[in-house]
Amino acid sequence: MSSPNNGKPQFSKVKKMIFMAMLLAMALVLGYMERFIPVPFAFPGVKLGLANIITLMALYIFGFWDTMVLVWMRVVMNAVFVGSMMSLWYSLAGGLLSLLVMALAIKLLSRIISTVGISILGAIAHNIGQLSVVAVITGSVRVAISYFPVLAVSAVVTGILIGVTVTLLKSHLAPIYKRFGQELN
Amino acid sequence: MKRNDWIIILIIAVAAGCVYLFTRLSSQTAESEVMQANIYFDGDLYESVFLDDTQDIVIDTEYGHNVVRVENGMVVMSEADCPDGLCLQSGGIDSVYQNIVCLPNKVHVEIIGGEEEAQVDVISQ
Repeated sequence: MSSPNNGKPQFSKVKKMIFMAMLLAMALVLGYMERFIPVPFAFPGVKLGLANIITLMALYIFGFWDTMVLVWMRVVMNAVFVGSMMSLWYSLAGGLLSLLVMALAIKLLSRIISTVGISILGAIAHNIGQLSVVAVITGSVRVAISYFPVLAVSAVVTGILIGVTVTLLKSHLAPIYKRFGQELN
Repeated sequence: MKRNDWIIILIIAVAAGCVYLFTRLSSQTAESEVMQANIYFDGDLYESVFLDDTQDIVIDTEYGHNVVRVENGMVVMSEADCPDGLCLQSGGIDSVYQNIVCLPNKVHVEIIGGEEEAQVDVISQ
């Protein structure tokens, strides 16, 4: 119970470690399983981004810095288990930019937009992060930009899906937190 | 969802539409009789071929193996050993500024109009 509260639930060190390890495991499994869910069209970079459910939920539960650790660990472990050196770079760029944008959006905009809006901003930031890596690797901004329209549309669709999921998840978790005398904002 | 969520969606949709129109227009204005496929590795020009030739271009690098097939004015990635295989799924391209990217192998192909080859090379370097 050391760090300042900021309206986030408080955990003992061990509880927090276990909780974060579980979230990490869930994020890894979701990231792996989503490739077995057929997406209507194959386009480079289009995916559901189910792991973002965990990132966004962790932002509400733990705040920015702990979620940052979670994202780093997920991306690195995902690259070790199933990805490659290259996928590490674009997952990292996408994951961190998306985390930053969502954390800022929660801090500054959560009065005027809902969780769905925050999730959409996170999804589009994820794609912009990945496209910047594409621009660096191909050395051509025009090539990267040509992918933007399709990725932007897919970011809106998946952002809504993930946003609705997190909204439901939060409404189910909030009573559990309340039972322990804690508040999930 | 709040009203402002819809505003965010609208802004993204407008931005995507603008980018799409822009790429479409710049592709049309650059349209020319002679078209070339430029094959890049790691951001540098690897090989440049005319679209009316029929040939397979093999790109073997330390990152992997790709084969680009040029046939009937169409360019496809016919072979690639990248783990995701997305470049194989992206199909054929046949007009200016369309591209195929194989990110894991650092290979990409872009079609350009013949006469502005010099200009494109300066931009992409």
